[in-house]
Amino acid sequence: MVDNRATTLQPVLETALDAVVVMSPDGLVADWNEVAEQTFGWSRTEAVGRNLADLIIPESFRGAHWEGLQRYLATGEGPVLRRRIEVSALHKEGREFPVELSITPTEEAGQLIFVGFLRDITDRRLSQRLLEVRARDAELLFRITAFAAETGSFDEALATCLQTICAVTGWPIGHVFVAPSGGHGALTPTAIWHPPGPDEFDPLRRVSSEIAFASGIGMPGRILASGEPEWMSHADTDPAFLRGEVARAVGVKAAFGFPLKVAGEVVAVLEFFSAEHAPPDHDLLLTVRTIGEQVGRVLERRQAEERLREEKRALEHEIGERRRVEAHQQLLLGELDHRVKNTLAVVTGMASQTARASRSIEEFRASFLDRLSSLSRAHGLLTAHHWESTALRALAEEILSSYVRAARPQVTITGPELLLAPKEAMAMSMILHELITNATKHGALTTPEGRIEVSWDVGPAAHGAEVTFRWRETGVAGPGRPLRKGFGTKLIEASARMELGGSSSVEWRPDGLEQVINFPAQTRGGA
Amino acid sequence: MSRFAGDEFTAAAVVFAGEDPPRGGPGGEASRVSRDLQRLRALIVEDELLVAWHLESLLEDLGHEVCSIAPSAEAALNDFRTLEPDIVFMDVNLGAGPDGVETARRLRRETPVPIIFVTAYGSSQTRAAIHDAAPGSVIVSKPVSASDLHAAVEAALKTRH
Repeated sequence: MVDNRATTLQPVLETALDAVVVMSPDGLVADWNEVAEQTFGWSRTEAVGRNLADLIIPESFRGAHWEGLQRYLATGEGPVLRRRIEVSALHKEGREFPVELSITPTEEAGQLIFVGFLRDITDRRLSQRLLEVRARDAELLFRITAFAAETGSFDEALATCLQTICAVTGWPIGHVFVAPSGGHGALTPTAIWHPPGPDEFDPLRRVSSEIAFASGIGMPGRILASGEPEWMSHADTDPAFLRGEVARAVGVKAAFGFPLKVAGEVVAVLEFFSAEHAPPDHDLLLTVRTIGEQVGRVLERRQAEERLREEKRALEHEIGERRRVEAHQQLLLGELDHRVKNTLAVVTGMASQTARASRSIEEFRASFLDRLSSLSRAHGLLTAHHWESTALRALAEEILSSYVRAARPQVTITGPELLLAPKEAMAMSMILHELITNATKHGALTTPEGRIEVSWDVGPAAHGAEVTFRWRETGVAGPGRPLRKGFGTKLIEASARMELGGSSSVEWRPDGLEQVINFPAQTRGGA
Repeated sequence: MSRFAGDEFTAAAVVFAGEDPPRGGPGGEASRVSRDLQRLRALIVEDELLVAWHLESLLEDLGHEVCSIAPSAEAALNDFRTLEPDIVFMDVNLGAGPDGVETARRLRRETPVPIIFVTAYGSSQTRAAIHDAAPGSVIVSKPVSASDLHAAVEAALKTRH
């Protein structure tokens, strides 16, 4: 048929845009057009008369081809006949390539022949593959950046990346190493895995959790150093993959990883493992590189937003704090104003009452200044204790010290620890002042033999505990009961009653007076 | 009896009369400003003894009578019911127990008697609390002078009438 081309097929063979191959029932090439020559590399002269399977069918499919031919010849059934199928074809150079094939049995001059139309679809397959890769990569990018923007934390964003890349690529397992802040030091493993296990990859998880990769060491370390993705087609045997032994044990054969960068700095390395050897998928590497950058930008933006929120919170806190301080200052100023006015009122009262009790300006000046001094000392003690309470002993020593310094052995002070509220302390300071002034002018301190015993105790009373304060003077010929109550005596009595809520009594003994003041213990009141 | 002149002392508060000075009587600034006023029986509610005595002196110099000095809310209510004063001088801070504002609120439930607050608290909150508890009360700031007191009494009596 090489020299005598079937007349009915001739126009088809010469004009078809596809490769047209005519095969006789014995499997030999009966005819072969020019396009077939271009497609398969065999000339018509070389092809015609040779076994078709040997020329264009890859060896692995030849058996099936022969069986199909025999079945058709025996039964007339051929499932691949009269329809388009896509199969691999063999070029004269030995390379396989995809073709679209349709086979139609027909008769030529009364003989059965098979006419095959074949079209090289390598370009179409590449286009399809490219489209699939782009769709995959677009889906990866979209899903990961969307998830990263929605997740609440850095760890969640990393886990989302692992999960999505595993789901889209079909690689079964992924893991995250994190970089030290500042970019110095080794990568440390995290517990972020997808899937989290337990499964057959547990030994890989265990070994990985025990390794920190320094920059440039191992696949993660090289990614940290270069800032670029890395693909290892044969991780199980490649000595550059430091976990090769455990990889072989769990069936890991390929690996790839990529960096996650924030502000240009690697903050994490994501690694993935496959149970099959896999040639480098440069499209995927490009995509994960972009993913690393995109997620990094999302995280960077979120960090910036978080910083802004933090600064706003700090600012609001500072404003609130400043307002609280201002309010507190206002409160303090108000309290200071009150205390000053109150003290001025007391001093005014002290001046007016001292003046009423004085016979001369000199007497007024001396008495008033002494009382003012006692008041000032009591204030000083209370201020030292934040106007909360002060000890009666400290108060007595403070008030009496200026009078008895020269003859200190004449005065003794004894009594248990007793804290006085500010108002009680102020009242007791006035009482002590009046008593020591009287002792100086008329009582025990007028003679070297005179003694003063100041004491107190706390005991039970009808309504709780009661303080009994005693001022006992001895060693002096008592001046006796005065004809009229002086200002000091009135002050002591009224203070005991009004300010201490208690009572006072005085006994005029031959060797000196004894003043007793009773008041409720632990009474507290504001000045 | 002698008295100082000049600004050093609160007007009319400085009268020398030995151990037990007579109070009130003719002469002096306080007496001059009081001659147009009727003689009132006053209750002083004040827990600070010297302040209370000073107020008592001023009131007596103005020609009034102080029927009692009460250092607490309880004593004030008791004295008021017993002594039926014409006017009440009320401190705000009475130490432990109810304060002067609360005491005035309780008094107001019983009587329209004029109440003059004598207080070192000058804040608007305190003033608002006083007017809420005892509307129409007069407020005088510590330390009080005779002229302040005279004006306060006049104002309080006008409110009453």
